[in-house]
Amino acid sequence: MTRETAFKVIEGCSEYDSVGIIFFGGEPLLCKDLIKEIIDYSKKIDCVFNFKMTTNGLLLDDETISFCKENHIIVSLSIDGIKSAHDKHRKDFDGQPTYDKVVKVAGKLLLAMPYSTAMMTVNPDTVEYYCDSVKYLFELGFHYLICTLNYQADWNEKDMKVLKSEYEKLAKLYINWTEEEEKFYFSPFDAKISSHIMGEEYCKERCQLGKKQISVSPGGGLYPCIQFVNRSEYLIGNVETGIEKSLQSQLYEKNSKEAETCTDCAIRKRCNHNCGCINIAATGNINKVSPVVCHNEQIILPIADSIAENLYKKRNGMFIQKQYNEMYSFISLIEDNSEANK
Amino acid sequence: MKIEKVVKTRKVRVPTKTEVLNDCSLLRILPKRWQKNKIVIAAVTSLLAISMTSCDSGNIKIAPVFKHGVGSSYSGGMSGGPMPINEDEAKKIIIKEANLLGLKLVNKEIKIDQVSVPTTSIVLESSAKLWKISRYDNAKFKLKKPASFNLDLESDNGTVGIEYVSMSDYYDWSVPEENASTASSSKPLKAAEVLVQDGFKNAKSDKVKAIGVFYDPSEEKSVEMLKEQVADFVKWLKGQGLI
Repeated sequence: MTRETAFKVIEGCSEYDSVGIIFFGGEPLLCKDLIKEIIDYSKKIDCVFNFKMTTNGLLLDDETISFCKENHIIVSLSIDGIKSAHDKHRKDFDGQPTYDKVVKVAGKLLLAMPYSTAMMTVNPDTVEYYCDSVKYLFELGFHYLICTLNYQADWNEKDMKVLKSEYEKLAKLYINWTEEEEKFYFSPFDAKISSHIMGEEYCKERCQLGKKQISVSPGGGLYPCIQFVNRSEYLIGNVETGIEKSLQSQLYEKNSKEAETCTDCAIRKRCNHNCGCINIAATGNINKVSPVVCHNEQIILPIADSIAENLYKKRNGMFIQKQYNEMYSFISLIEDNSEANK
Repeated sequence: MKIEKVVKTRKVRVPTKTEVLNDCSLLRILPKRWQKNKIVIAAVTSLLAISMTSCDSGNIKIAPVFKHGVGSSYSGGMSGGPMPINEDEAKKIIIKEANLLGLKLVNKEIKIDQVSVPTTSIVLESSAKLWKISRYDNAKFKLKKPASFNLDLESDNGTVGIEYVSMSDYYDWSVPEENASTASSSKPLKAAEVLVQDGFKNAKSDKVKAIGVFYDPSEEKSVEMLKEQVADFVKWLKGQGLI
């Protein structure tokens, strides 16, 4: 992305009170200097910016970590867990496994910014390490764990059985951590628990394709989500002329349409079947749901519900505050600050 | 693999956010790590001022009502409902179940001050006009003036008090809506909820640290359901670090 394109994006944000900007790639730290320029330029614009960055960590040196800390850039590190899982798919440019380098970086990152996120991808050939990997990342210091299945991979029934058994182990872990009053977010379970607790609100908050978030390609094209970048049929504008509202609405309408395969399904209101981004990644069609998504949802929902019932029945304070108190994050931050000042 | 529709799901026995925000008692339950941190407690109190204060009862922790059983009944006329569990019977069940779960209760009343008992309403109608009862489902019970109140049971060290809302309590606290009739409805669950949310709001005691309110489940399996209320309460006490 050129400097001009990036600055145009920042200038376009001036019509909003606050905007979140995520640097993603490929690998955004290949353009480290540009990121610094963008951050500096954003300070001249009348808008509150929240910056995030998703990185594989290979270029995340001490200086960059300090820069991120000073500028409140939340870093999400792509790390797949234990060595056996991570090194299966995470290789560097020379094809060498990256676990050792990334773990070293993770330690430094967490020391400087304890709220950094672990972005973990689970593949059929790493699913057997799922629980061990989550436990490992938590022990490493990541308390914000975003874990997703690689929906593009070739999953089969046997893999799904392993997935189920891993979710069951993870459920025990989730309950134990909550009972020990650990603060953490484990996206697969927390999102599903939320899908019950939030009720109708959850449906509204699901995939807001192109409405709340847009992705900008290096050339300045605007797309509804990261998965759509450089698919010309989903282009909804560019940084010069802005978003074409009619294209944006058309796409949103198209995505809102219930897939025929899912009408009347009892869990459709709590499921990700209507996430255009997942669908495009998994099937190449925003309205076509992948059987992997379907099976995953059917496996995970009852497990997540059991976790919620278990902790609710015990009237667990951490569970109740985390799930029901809208001020939870803020109070939690106050607690962390008060502990740090002791 | 193929896409397979789910035909039916079971009900999740966890309240939604809307339900919890309508009954703030659940939000009073805090993690122990928060309870130990004065700054957090101050933040919680100020940030949740509206919802928290309506449930606050000073130094006494009031457990939420653990719902097992519909807790409402219709009697008289042509209707034959489940038999209520009277006070004495309920006390025996509660003591026995609590003891089994590690909470030693004794059959002795304990006085607390500044309790506002709800003015319950018994809707008296002829059995032919049952539909009218539903009009009162959402009616808000008024509170009587604060006064001393004897809880039905206490723990052996006097720090835990138990109130069982029986049908007779419900009738004792009531103001009949109409006279001349052969049928009536009562809602001990609702009365228990009002006690928890508002009735004990200003309750004071030198000794009692926690109160549990149970109610007559008014169902066929009432005894089992009452035991489940006791079990949930004991879990809650443990979760609060009170036993």
